[in-house]
Amino acid sequence: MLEEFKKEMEECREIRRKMADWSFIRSQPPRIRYALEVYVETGDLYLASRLAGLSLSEMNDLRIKAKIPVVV
Amino acid sequence: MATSDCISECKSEEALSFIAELMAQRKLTVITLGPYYRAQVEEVIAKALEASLNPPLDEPEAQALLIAKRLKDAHEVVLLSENKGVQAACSTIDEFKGIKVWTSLDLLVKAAKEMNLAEEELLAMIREYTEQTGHHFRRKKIAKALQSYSTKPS
Repeated sequence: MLEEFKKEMEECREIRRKMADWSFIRSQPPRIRYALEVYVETGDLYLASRLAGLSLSEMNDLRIKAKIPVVV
Repeated sequence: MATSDCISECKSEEALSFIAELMAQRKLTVITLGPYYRAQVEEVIAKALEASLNPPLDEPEAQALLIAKRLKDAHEVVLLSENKGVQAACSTIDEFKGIKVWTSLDLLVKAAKEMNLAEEELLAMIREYTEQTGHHFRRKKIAKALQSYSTKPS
């Protein structure tokens, strides 16, 4: 079962990588940029928001601007 | 039901007004977790770690899991989460098995059923949601949702 989730997570990660606006991400200050990259890699918005020093809703707005989807 | 930690993450006027409106209509309850429950949240996170859950659970998701677990035997509880860690926990850790987890896609399908919408209307609703929220529903998930929708009781 955990293997299935692992496979699914990799599929979601690929979609996030592909759809992300990398020029927007690379134009951000380092802390924000790394937080967005962490979100692309993990899909964990809470973790990314803590790294960026933002609230979840602020991080979510940033995620939308960076065109990184929440993959379901 | 939502925790005060979760509500405090909402900053936009629009989101906060919506939350206030739901609370005024008694459709949403906000609870604050005291030290007793916070210790249990730590325990939930530890159990996920012990089960090598990947991704690990973070605190808000662990809070939601704990509440769902406490309520599931007395009420029909649905946990709204798109976090893969929560989904993995409810599929693999015995004490969380049986907790219903819905994603936004499940919620849209449920709403469409309640409103008796045609399949095309459901698809339009999914498209609109996708555009507004930056969600991406994988094809297989949409196909599965449509399959369950086409067999809805009339």
